[in-house]
Amino acid sequence: MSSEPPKPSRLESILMRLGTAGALLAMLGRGSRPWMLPLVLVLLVIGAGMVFLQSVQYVAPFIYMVF
Amino acid sequence: MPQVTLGVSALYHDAAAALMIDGQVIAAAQEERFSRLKHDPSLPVRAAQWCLDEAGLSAQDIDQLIFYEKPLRKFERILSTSIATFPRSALSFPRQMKAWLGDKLWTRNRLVEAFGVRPERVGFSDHHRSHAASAFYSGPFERAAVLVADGVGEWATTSLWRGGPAGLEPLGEVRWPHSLGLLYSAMTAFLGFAVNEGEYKVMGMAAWGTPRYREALDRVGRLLPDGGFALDLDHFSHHWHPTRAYTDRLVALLGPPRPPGAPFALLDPSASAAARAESQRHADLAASVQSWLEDALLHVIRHAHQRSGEANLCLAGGVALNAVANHRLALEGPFAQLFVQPAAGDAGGALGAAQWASFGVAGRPWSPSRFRPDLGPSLDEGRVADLVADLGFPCEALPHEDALLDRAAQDLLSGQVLGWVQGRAELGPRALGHRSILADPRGPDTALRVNTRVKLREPFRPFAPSIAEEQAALVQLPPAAAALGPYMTVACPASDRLREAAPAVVHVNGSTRPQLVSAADDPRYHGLLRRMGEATGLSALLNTSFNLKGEPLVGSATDALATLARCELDAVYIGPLRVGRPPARVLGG
Ligand SMILES: [Fe+2]
Repeated sequence: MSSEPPKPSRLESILMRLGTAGALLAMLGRGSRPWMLPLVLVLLVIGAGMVFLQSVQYVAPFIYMVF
Repeated sequence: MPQVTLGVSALYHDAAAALMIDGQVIAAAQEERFSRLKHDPSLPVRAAQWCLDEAGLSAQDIDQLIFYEKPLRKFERILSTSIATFPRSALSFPRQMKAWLGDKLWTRNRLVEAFGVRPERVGFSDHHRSHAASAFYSGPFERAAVLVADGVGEWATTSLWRGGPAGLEPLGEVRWPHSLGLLYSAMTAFLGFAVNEGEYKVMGMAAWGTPRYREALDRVGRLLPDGGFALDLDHFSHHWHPTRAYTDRLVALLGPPRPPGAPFALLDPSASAAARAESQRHADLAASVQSWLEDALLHVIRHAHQRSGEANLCLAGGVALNAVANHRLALEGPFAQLFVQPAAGDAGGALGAAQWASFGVAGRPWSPSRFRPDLGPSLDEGRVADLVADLGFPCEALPHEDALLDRAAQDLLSGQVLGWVQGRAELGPRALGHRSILADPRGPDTALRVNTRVKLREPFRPFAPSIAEEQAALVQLPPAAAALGPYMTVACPASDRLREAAPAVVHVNGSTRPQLVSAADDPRYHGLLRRMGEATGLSALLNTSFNLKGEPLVGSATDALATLARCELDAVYIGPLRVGRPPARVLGG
């Protein structure tokens, strides 16, 4: 690992995030807290927005005004 | 093809990486030892890189990377707690969501990006399963009950397992927000110490007090007939407040909290009677929470014994670092033998995650062995000599073992305080003679010398001794704690002889937290202890971790030299080199 580790492609990163979101929704749907699903969906949309905005340098400072 | 497993703990505190190949632990280290940030929680990229370098591997060789807990389950807990405690959680909710939605929820992405492994090779253990595995698969028993107690993992705060040839079987758990660790941490904050750091200080302060607040604490932390316990949540706010762990009701019950940094007047003859009374109240509070924790743990393990039907017990989780409680468990508990994972905190979770994947999932055969915590970086002695010469530190090479040990013993006997950097660094919070500060424990002013020159430790906390195994009678280790001797994970009564001869390593209540050193485990360190014994009759040394206040343990020789330059240590032994204090110009004079 003395050289930089290979980075996943952008598509791979997005697919991984979608996989995580899907796993989270599935876990909540299966468990005793299905009422959390709508809230989590809203939060995930906000989360996706945050991840996107963080990657856009000139917007990043404003995230801290929202959160 | 060998099976390469990397265990990783991170993103809360004490990040660490552990590398196993075909079921053998090759290397394990905490990120803080590389980044030099105490309790560094960031992904342990440097620690992992060192582990791979040690094995001559690269990221592409990792067959499985196992994260020590399940972030999604943790997120579920945080979310549902926030909803259940709304509107009180309104303050902490945005903060939590920012941390989770922006970062922690996407741990798989972060692991893949940081470590360069394929996404399909990343797996997740459970927080308590990782702790349980770190205790059982490092322990000396074929089969055992395993108790994990910490602040909180995903949901579990205390969990019971049965370990055996079939793996680790969960037997029961107590769930958030009811937590032994978090009650102790709330009281740590109440007593003005930093949570996750000051718990040792509460344990040390407890010896100065009497548990006269026990009844009050019994009301806020009740033991249940099923072997569990429940907190009265009106008194605690760890589950909804962003920074404060207790409510005004706890203040009404126990009186005003101790302000951080308040002086400890019980050791100050010039202090006023009022100041002494206030310090006594603080010590009584510490004694009360310590006594509550011990009784709660005893209650839990008595049920664990019945439930598991096992004779021996392994312990892990941050609560298992409470060496005083471990003594009560050994002395009064029902188990024949105890083993405590020395890296019982979350750093040990990295090791446990790798062990669970290797033995629990892959079903690899496993047999008990004697655990060695020296799994970290070793010293490149050739490079050390060059470095010392470059920096202009006075240095003496002592390639002959006898000469080295004679010289070190002579230094110690003349009252010097030494750094002792030998072999591989220890995993976990205890320095066990590999990254230690040593002093002759005899004499009334030893603790003061070590404290004022190097450690700046609170005066109410004791130092601990390393003792050559053949002089184990210097301490009264209960038979059930025999397996804990090498690791400083149990406090026990000191013998009269140790108490009289070496007060610096005996606490005010006559207890001590020993490391028993055998020639087989550590011949060089044992040789030094033996020489001390030949000269003084006492084969013992004061042993404290080699770090300055607020810094992590030293890892490399460079860290040791940097520390030597910034404190009043007399010399540091790095491998076979005796490095003396640098001349003033090296110090920038
Ligand atoms: Fe933990």
